[in-house]
Amino acid sequence: MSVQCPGLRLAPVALLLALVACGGGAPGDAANPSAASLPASRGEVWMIDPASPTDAQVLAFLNGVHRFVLKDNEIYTATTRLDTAKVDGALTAATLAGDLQLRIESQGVQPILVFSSGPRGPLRKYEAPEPKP
Amino acid sequence: MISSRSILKAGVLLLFAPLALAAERDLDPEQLALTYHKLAGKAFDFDRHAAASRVVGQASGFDRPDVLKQEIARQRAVFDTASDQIVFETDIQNSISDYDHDRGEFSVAIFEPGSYMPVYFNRQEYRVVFANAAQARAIRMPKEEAREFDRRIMRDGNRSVMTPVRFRIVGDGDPAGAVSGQYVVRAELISAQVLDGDGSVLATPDFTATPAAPPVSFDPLAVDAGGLRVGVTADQLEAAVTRLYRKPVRRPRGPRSDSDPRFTGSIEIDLMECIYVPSSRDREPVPGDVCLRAFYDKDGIVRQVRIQGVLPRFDYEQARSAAIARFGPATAVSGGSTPQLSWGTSDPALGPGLTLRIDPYGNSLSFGSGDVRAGSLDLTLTDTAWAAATAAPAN
Repeated sequence: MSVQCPGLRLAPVALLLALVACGGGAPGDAANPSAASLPASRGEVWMIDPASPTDAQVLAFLNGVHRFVLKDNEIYTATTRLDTAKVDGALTAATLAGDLQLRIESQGVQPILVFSSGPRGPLRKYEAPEPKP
Repeated sequence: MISSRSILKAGVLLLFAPLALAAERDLDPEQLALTYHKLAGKAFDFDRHAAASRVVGQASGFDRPDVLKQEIARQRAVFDTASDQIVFETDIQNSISDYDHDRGEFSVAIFEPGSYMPVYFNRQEYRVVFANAAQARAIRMPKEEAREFDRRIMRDGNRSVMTPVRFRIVGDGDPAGAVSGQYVVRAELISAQVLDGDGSVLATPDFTATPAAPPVSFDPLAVDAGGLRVGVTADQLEAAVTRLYRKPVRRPRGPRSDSDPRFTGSIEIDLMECIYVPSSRDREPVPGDVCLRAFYDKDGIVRQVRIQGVLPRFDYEQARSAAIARFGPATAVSGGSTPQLSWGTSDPALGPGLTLRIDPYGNSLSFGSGDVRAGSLDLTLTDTAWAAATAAPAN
């Protein structure tokens, strides 16, 4: 078995390293196998609207989903990738700690973050500013 | 099993917050305190406590040195025999709630979250929290039965009940993070009853059906703080922060840095941006702001991350309960205007595996008397296993 990266042909023993080097969505380094790399450019960054109900913002921050990358139906929160699943009526869904479920629903063109315990808040797209020279 | 009963009656005062409570059968407050200190690994000043004891105070000046030695030896013997097998017994006077028509239940006050049983020993308060109280809190019954039950409770014109309990001490702190204080005794109920004014049994909670879950060790590598993890490369974290927030400042640790010498550098979105300085032309933090700082080691692996989120003012209880659901039972909780919950073992220099400062009214968001109209949640996650295994470099 071999893994293809641009310009590279790697032996099986290099599989894990290759997955990391190939970019977005890779597992984390050996020091923390629970971690993941945020996609470098794919997907879009979303943040919970600061005008959202407070209970939704508290839950979002504590669960790390106050800001995240949504790539297809995958959710990346900084160096964490959530386990997502396709659910009817939602763009994507994920199970969080403590049996809490998260759904991203679409209300027209407006995505909404919905927690199974009730709180919900609109999302808005975020683009990080260009670094100052 | 060893049973502790009525060795010292004087000096024990049991109160229940927020409801008054009194003990009839008596546990030994000294044995409770010493058992707690031993099991929680908290230092106990034998010399000071012995010197303050009644027996030493009543000794003549001539005999006092000998009596003091004897008293220290006696207290040490109690400490040495302390274990989690000692069963304490007491009767708690408390109350029962009105019938909750939606949930179909009455609730026993002493077993509600945030309740504790204060025990006083040598002017120190020990707050006893029952870790498995949830199993005893509710008395469920249909409305038809509840009417008669309620009438029976109210026979004496109030909702007072007596609750005999048997429990063991299992450690330190309120796993629900709702009770704070210097000495929070974590106990596990073995049996309990709820009695009416005549001593008739109203309820006997069953603790055998779902035994208390064994304490779960907290692993900082298994969780994230606001999405950020420790044990990742500094490059990995910097790239994530750059895309999700903005380009952070990354700098190596300077020779005059006051950060831990085991760190070799940091990645930061200025923490000062989440603090308002009223006398300057500073910008006030607003909901949606995020500040963060991560430290990495000589191998470029992130070992500590701190992330502070600014939110609209919020309810403390809402954040506390969400944090417990998210991170599990807290190891410790401290009170004050900005309460702090913590999880996991602690490094002497870097602190616990995880801390959460809950600041519903933004007390930490300004210097001086600036009134910032926001609140804040502030998480610090530390790779304590790495810290324990890593010595500070020699200068």
